[in-house]
Amino acid sequence: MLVRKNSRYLDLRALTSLQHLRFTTKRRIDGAYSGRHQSRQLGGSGEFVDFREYTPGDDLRRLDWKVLARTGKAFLRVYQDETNLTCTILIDASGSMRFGQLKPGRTGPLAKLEYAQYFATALSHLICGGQDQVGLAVSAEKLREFVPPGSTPDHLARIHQSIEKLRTWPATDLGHSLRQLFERLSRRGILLIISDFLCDDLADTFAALRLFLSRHFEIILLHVIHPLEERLPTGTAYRFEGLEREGGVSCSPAEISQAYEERFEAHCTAVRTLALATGCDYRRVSTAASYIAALTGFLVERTG
Amino acid sequence: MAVPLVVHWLTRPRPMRIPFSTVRFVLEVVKQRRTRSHLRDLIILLLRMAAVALLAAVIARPLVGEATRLAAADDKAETVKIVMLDVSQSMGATSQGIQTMARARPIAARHVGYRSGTQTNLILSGASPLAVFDRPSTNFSTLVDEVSRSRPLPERLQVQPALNRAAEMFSKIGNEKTRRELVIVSDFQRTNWATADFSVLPLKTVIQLESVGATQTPANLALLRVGCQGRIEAGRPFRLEVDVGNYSPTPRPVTVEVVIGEALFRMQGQCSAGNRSTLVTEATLPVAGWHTGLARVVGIDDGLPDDNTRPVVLRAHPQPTYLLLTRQSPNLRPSSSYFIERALAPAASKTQPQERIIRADPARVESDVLSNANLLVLDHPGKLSYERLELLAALMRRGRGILYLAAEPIDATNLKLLAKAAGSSLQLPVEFAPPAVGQVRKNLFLSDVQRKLPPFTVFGDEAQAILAPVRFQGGLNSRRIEGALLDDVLATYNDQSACLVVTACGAGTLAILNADLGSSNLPSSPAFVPLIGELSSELLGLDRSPDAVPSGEPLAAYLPPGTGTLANLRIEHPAELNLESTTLGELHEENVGVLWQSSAAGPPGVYSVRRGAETVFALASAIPPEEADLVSLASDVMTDRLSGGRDVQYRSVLKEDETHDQLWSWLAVACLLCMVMEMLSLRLFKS
Repeated sequence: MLVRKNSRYLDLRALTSLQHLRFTTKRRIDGAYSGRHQSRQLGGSGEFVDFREYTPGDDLRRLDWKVLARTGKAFLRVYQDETNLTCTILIDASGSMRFGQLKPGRTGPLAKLEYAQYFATALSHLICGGQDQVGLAVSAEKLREFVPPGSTPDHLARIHQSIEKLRTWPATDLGHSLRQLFERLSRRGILLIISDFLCDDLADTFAALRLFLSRHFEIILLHVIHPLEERLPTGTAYRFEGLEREGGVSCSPAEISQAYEERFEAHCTAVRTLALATGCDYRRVSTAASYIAALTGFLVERTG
Repeated sequence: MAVPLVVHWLTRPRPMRIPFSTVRFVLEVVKQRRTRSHLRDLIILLLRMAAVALLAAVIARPLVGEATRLAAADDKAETVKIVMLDVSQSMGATSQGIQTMARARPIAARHVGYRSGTQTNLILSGASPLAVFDRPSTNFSTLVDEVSRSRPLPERLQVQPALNRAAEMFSKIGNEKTRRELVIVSDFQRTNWATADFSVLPLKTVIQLESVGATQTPANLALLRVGCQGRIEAGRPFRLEVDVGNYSPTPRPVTVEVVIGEALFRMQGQCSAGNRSTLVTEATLPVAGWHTGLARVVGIDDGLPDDNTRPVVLRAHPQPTYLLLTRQSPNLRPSSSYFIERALAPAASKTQPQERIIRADPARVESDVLSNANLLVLDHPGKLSYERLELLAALMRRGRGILYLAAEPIDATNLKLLAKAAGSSLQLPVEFAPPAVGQVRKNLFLSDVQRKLPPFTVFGDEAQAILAPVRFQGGLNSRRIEGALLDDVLATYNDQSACLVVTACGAGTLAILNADLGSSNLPSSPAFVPLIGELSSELLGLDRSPDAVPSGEPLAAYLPPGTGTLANLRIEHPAELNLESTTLGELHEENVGVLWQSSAAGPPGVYSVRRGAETVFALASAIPPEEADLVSLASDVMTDRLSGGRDVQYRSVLKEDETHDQLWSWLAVACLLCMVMEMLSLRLFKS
């Protein structure tokens, strides 16, 4: 596998510990090629799973002649096909994802976008390493970039390059971006959305997600939260400037701290509730924790 | 008031700008809390403004009210300013340990101090106004010195002369554009100021009244009069009376000691609140002559101590001498003159000295005999010369009493001429006229008697029974004079003519008994002797000791008729007072006697006129009783009723001070309250 070494978000040494883990799903999926994942189709090759009584129209090549000879009844032998997995990673590149950027020389939690870049780079590396296909979509006020799923090293390098070059846009419309992506994806698979879900219309976003679900996509929501978002900074007075053209507001954080924390928690709860109600897999990650640890947990949980 | 705003603006938090991803949530929360936040800011701002304003007011307290309403600092017009400083006795009153004069001096000094374009004069107002300069001057330092030297004088304040003096000064200086200011620094005592009239001042005069009177009138007790009832005769007991004024809100027990010569008389009694009470004791002066002394209130600490003592002058007379002027023969008995002589000198007892009666023909009697008699009785005098009547009128004015028995028609002429000779000092209530031709005045009886007035008081409730059988004959017809005092007619006949008339004439009294005693049955009535005795006592009683003259006021007193000529007479003042002889006044010899005249009576004390070692006259000068009542006149009376259309502004220094003190306390409390409320608000809004 050819990997571009110049992606600064790919830390192969850190990923060494994850080499034994595979990004998988418990669902049956559609794949273009054979692979390690159960296909939605029961074909004539692969692993035997059961007998089924013959019905007119069935492929006679799959008829178990021995059983017919012994019992006089026609039974077909059923085999489980195995196929590869197609995962599309959608990264929210709205302005709010820029929050938490560190000034040069300072240490601390990663910015949300940076965190998403590390996570997506690592995950795409692991997916391709498992002979599965990975695609990339970048969302802002519209679908800014789309790389169709693929599994070749060049494809992976392209994805890594795209992730590395990611920048933010000052507006966001996740629902619109998802609809555009829906139109571009021709094959069902897994859609991993890495976002902070700070959008104007959350209901519209989940309405768009329902389109994917109706096509039997498996949707995973990775809710990225920066620790500084969870509570307001301490101090006498701040003027908070919006990252997505929301304007600014001057206030004394001490006066609204509690109300803000409640409001933010309500937002997170709303995202989680909507996700679970819609049938999406939801995972909340904080940039305060290492992305490797978050990825490990994520993969372990999915592997079961 | 802008300071809190500036402070609020300067101290408002300067926000740190930071980019924030969840600003939408912050906005939502802030919107929810914006109203609350604005309310808090407004409350805090208002409280801070109030606190700072109150603090400024507290700090500026000593200056508030200092800016006089008169001072128009930017007024470039020429200003004439006259400051009237009350130096009357009431300014010596003490309230809260401070003398009223001590309060007045700095205020007056401030007003007479230097001011550009202003000419100022100072009038020290007592019984007579005393201007420092003849006209307003710019010699401010002298005026300030005069103010600092000013002391309360034992005089009452004569307001109107002082206002007239100020008006005279205003009229002599300046033109129409000249600004005229009159500043009056006084306690505005009700008794002095109630009749003030500012209308004598030029119309555009600005009048500033600076009241230095105490807010709560100090309680004061004062000796208002020391004297006696009736005439004092040597060796005979008399009623010594002391009038005490209690100008306090509560009744007070009073003890007064009167020291006359070596005798001490003590009186005790209860003085009702806000009233004048008379304490009485019986006293006897063994020797005839002038007796001086001092009365004082014992054990009293009040607002005005100076009026707790009062000099006393009493004159003890020898036994009275009656002069019966009649042309009837002493041997004619019964006759009118015989009856009146017997009534004046009833049978003498062994213990009582005998009165002396001199019977004389009015046409031949000597002037000195007339002057030496204590009571003149005229019965059937015949026609009197006008000169004789003038002398009688003069004696009456000087305190003599005359009993005139009007029996003959010529008496009507005599009385008319006597009234003419007495001039305005004698106002008879009736005009007597001879009976008409053919008219017989007989069987007259009393139809109307003033039982409650002397001499009829001697009969008490039995007056009606005693007087009913009495029948009168003779006498004159009488006609009431329009506008005359009818109370002087003490008894009236059934034909509405006057029976007994008693009328004041100067210091003396004229009593007219309109009847012929010879033909009336009055002399045979038991009422006759008491009636004449009581009447003569009343007439003799008028020759009582002179009342004290008010200190500082013009003095004019006739020396007793027996003084004689002016030769070798000298005036002596109290030894404790160091007075110049010119201030004691002068003695003038006039037709009717010697007159002691002075432009201003001296300080309280006993003054005497002596010839050699003999005291021929004595007089007490005392603080006028009006000064004892320390109640101030209400400010609205001064500014409205008495203003005479002038712009009168009133300011009470003490009230303002007290109000300022109270205000200061309340301002400080309010300031503190504002600060506490600010802290509470901050805590309430969790800031």
